This record gives sequence, C-alpha cells and structure tokens, in this order.
Amino acid sequence: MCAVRSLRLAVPKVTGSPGPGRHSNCKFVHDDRLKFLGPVPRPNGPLGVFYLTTIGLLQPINCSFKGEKTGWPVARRHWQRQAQLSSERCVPMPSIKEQDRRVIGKSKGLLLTLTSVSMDPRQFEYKSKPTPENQVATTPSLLDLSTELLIEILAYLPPADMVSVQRTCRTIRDIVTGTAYLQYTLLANINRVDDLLPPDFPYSERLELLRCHEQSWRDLQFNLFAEGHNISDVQNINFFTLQDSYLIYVCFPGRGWGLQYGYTDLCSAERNKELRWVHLTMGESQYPDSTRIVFAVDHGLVMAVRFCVPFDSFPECKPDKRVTAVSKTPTWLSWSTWHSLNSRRAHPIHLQQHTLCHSHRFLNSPRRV
Amino acid sequence: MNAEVLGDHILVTVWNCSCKAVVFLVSWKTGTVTLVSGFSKFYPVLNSHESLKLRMLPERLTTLHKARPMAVSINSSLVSLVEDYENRLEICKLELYPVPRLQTLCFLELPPLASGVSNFFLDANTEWVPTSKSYARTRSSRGCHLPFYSSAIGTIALRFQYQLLGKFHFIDDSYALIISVAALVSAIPTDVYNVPWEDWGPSSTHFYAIAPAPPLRPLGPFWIPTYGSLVVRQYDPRHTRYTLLMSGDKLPWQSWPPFNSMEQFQYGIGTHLPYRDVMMENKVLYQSTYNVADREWVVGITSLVRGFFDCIFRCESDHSHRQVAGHSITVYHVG
Repeated sequence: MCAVRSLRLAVPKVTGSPGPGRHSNCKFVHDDRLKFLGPVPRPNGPLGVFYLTTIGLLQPINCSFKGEKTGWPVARRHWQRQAQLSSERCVPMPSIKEQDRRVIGKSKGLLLTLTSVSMDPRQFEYKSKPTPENQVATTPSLLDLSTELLIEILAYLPPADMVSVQRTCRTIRDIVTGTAYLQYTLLANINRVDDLLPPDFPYSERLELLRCHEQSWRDLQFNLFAEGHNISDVQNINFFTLQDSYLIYVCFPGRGWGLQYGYTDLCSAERNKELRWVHLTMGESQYPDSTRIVFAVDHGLVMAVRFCVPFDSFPECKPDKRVTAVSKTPTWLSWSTWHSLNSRRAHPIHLQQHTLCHSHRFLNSPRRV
Repeated sequence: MNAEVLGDHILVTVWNCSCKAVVFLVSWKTGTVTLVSGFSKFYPVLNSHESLKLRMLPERLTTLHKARPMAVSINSSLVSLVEDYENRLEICKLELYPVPRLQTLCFLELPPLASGVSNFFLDANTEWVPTSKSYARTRSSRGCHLPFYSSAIGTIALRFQYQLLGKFHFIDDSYALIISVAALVSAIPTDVYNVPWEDWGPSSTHFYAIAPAPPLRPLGPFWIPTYGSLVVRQYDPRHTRYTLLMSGDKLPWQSWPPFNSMEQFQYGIGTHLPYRDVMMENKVLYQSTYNVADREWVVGITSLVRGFFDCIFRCESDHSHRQVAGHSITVYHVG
C-alpha cells in the first residue's frame, strides 16, 4: 500500500472525451515532490497505489520515481497515516523498473520522489466526489476555472495587464479575443472612452459601435451633420467652445457693453437642418478686462461663470516676501453665474449672486436678445 | 486670473499686478467659494455658505513673489501648479473633504535652464472632458447620436518662452511641453520631493519648439501641433503598447529627436513620448479658422470676411475682428 502525501500539480483543463492513446502530461509546479513511503514491495507485486485528485475528478496516473533511502522509523510513521487516507479510492500503481525494485528490496524504508506524471485520458472517469478525507492538497491552476469565471477575473485586469496575459497562453488569448465583453472593456480602456448605452445593450453591438467610432477618429473620417450655418447676427465672437455637446460662443463687445454668449444644443439638432441658437446678453461689467468666463454644463443647464477681481486689492508684501500687513480694502473674489435656459430652471446660487450684483453693481440676470 | 472647470468645481487662480496668487475652489453647483492655497492666512475671502461673511483662511502659506503660477487640473484629485519662476511643476493633491485644500506631493523639474535664462509660462490646454460627473445622465435624457465620451484627460499641453536676463526679447519661438497624464501620475514618487527632469520628463513628455502665436488646440483625442498644420498628432502610450503587443508590426508611432539649444538649456533636451501624426484630409476642417471637438462632434468654424465670403483668414487678433461678417459653422459627427 502506498499513498500520496502531498502533490501540487498544474493540470491542464480537460474538456470532452479524449481520443484513445492520447496522454495529457502534467508538470510539477515549483519543486514539490511526491513522497512515497511504504513497506518493501514483494517481487513482481504491485508497488502500491496512489491517487491524484484534481477538482472534482479522481484520475489514475502513470508515474516514474527516483528513490532514496530514509530511516525506517520515519517511513513507518508516514505509512500508518497515509494508509488510512488511501483506504478507499486507490488505483494500482504501474510497475516500476527492475533496478528500482532491487533498491527497494534492500531497504527497510524508501523515500521515492515523483519525477514525472502522465495521465491516460481513457482512464478519465469520475470515481467519487472528493471528501475532506480523501482530498489531496492540490493547487489548481487558473485554467482549471470555468470560462465564465475566467472572463469575470480577466475583466478586472487593467488594459496593460490584459494585453500581457493574452501573451501567456493560447487559451487565455482565445478567451479574450473571443469574448465581446472583454474586447469591449479592453478597447474602451485603451481609447479612454465611456459609453452611454443602456445596461442591457449587447456587448457585441457595443463593440462594433466602438470600433466604428475609433476607426472614424483614427482615419479622421467624419460624417457631415450640418454645413455652412452662419451666425452673422453676432459680431466680434471671441471664441467657441464645445461643452457636453453644447456649442457655445462668447463675444466681448467692449468696455461698458454687456457680454454676449450663445449656444446651440447639437444633441437636439437635426441632420442638415438649421442650428437653433440661443443668444444671451449678460449685464454690464465694470471690469470687462479682468473677466474670464468658463462654461459648465449639467442636466441641460448651461452655466456661464464670470469672474472678476478688482486689481490692487491684495495685501501688500514687504521685500522680504513675508506678509506683514493687510490692506484696509477688503479683497473680494467676485463671481457671478447665469443660467441659460435650456431647462428654465434657476440655479441654486443665482439668488445669492443677486446680493453680489447689487452691492458691486456687477451683473444682471441674463436677457435674451 | 484663470478659471478652469474641474468636475463640479471651478478652479480659480487669481493673481495681482505684483504676481501674488491664490487658488480658489468654487462649487458651481452650490456656490461655495473656498480658498485652497493662499499666501496669507489673514487673507479674507467670500464664502457664500456663510451668508457672505468673510472667513479666515487655512494655515497654508505660499509666497509667490516673482511670477504667476497657474493651476492646471490633471484629474479629479490632482492639480499641477505651473511655477515657471522656479522652472518646475508643483503637483498637488486636491482634497475636497473635510476642508478643500491643496497638498503638495512633489515638484517636477522642467528642462534645466542655462545660466541667466528665465522661463515664462504662456498657457495651458487639456483635452476635452465633460464638465459634470453626471454627464452620462444628462446625455441620456437629451438623446444621443453616438454613445461614447471621454471622461479622463490623456494629455496636457503647456507652452513656455525663454528669456535671457536683462534682455527684453525672447529666445527663439515658444516651446510646447506635451505631458502624458498617465505617465505623469506614475512618475509621482512617494519618497522624493524634488524630481529632476531626467527622471520623469524624457519618458513622459514631448518637448518641441513651435510658433509663438496661438495656443495649442486639442481636437478630440488629437492635438493640432503647430499653427496651420496639415496634420494632427496623437499621444497615447496605451495605444502604442497595445498595438506593439498585439500586432508586432513596425509602428507608425515615433518619438522626437533631441534638439540642442545651448542658449537656453543646459544640454540637448530629448523626449521620448511616442506619438503619431495623421494627415487632415478634410479640407473644411483644415481651412477652418479653428476647430473644436469632443469625442462625438467635430466643428469647423470659419470667420467670414465682409465682402469676401469665400475668403478665409486665420488671424485672431483684435483688429481683424472688425472685418468679420459672421462665422460659418460646419458640424461633423463621429462614427
């Protein structure tokens, strides 16, 4: 009788029925050794039995050994323990070479190290479910997991690692390239885009859309949507900006004039139809030259935020750069907002700015022109 | 002053004639104004959450005496203060809670200057990203033509000019420094405060001379590298690595050869951030006065000169605006 004490193997995943004569070779992970301890075998008798357990599969294996002598007391102790474990699901060991038998026969105890293992696929059969008693300590490889689980795990990888892991083996590469979900995750990460599609939108179609989108950018080939629209009624436009699909223009007519801006919602526009502009005029500003405008868009609300800081209101510094005095004139960061009325909602801070506007004669509410 | 939308906040850098600067964080949804970096703890600011009362500032002391630093957002939690007077970038972590503040992580040195040369920061631009975190919800309620948008900045473009001390004119043209955000973030050390240029710049940036006039403009994921350029340029280390690993082919990506300009730099500055150039074959876009784009829309804007509606001019200076009779807008959709 003999038994496996510990074994750590990387076992290839076997699916379907293997053909006759094919052997699936196993390799050791690290330098783990199968230690075989037992009584001196009888001449021409079976060396013993042992079993190899992978996940849910009890497999008979063929193996070869390299022997070395050990002290008998140690061997006996191991033998007694392993015998209990191997009382049920054991399969006969294949024969070993005659010279090894001679070595074994001259020894009271023998430590055999497993040097190679092969499995005969024809013998793949489920013997019984593994139980805590019969289960041998094994470390399954990643590929033992189901494809669904592998996809879940791979989806957590950063794009660089997902690219790298594809180069480790064909199985993983095939899984990544053949799974629309992984392909989409990878491409979206690489191209730094997110999507606005509903959750139940199929990933295969999502992937197709993304490929089409990136191809368009790669080749700079775009679809003409609206052409040649003139906003000639607005003069002195300083700049345009595109924020969240709102095309916004700004013009500074000059000191004493209300600042103007306008926008058109490209999402609501129709192909080859006139763009509909909303033109707005801000109130007069005392300090047009120190004004900067930024636009922020949220929930159909276009916000124009204008900042204006009176000069020479900072605390003075002495030459040693240490702040030693504060100007008597309070320094105000004056800022103001206007909502531009896609949704016709007042912004929460709009009322607060009325106070500012009143005290500083800065701004009025926007009015349409 | 400079203002930049940073998600639900606006990052405002204000400086006065003496080039003293402070950085504010303004919530454009609630109206809260908070100082995140000031040069005096006695500096009064307006806090609309406290009934327009003045409030005292946090302790952080920043002495800004020579030039004007400008805050440039890197991502939702990182801000770069461009400190040209120190020839470096100050990388700060922006903490919103419990009290907004900028915490310095490290200083990234810019290309080392020759003796007697000063660095002048001109402007900064970033790729387009949505201004609101709820962009997806907003778009879905408005209807969308194509469902993709970019939520992260890939590259930042800074422009500098260099000047010899005691002279009024600048040396050569301006210089563009394109910084890969991913590379920049990975270059931020945990144990070093000052990072020399050689330790982060060559691998994370593209540094080259350009004409001084207009700022660099982004076009979706591309940059228009020089004024009037026929090509657009894409910097994307992720793309490069992916293409390299998956195809194994020779890449169209290239890196810029080092240039020697001993007048303003200590040695030849070589950078290796890979990029690819794409020819802009669309004549409307090429001939436009300028283009704006996000990931879904590309808009070409052409200034129309009075009496010469088919004539296109490319000057953006103030005196030319008087001749503009309007703007022709051509909208393209991506996909």
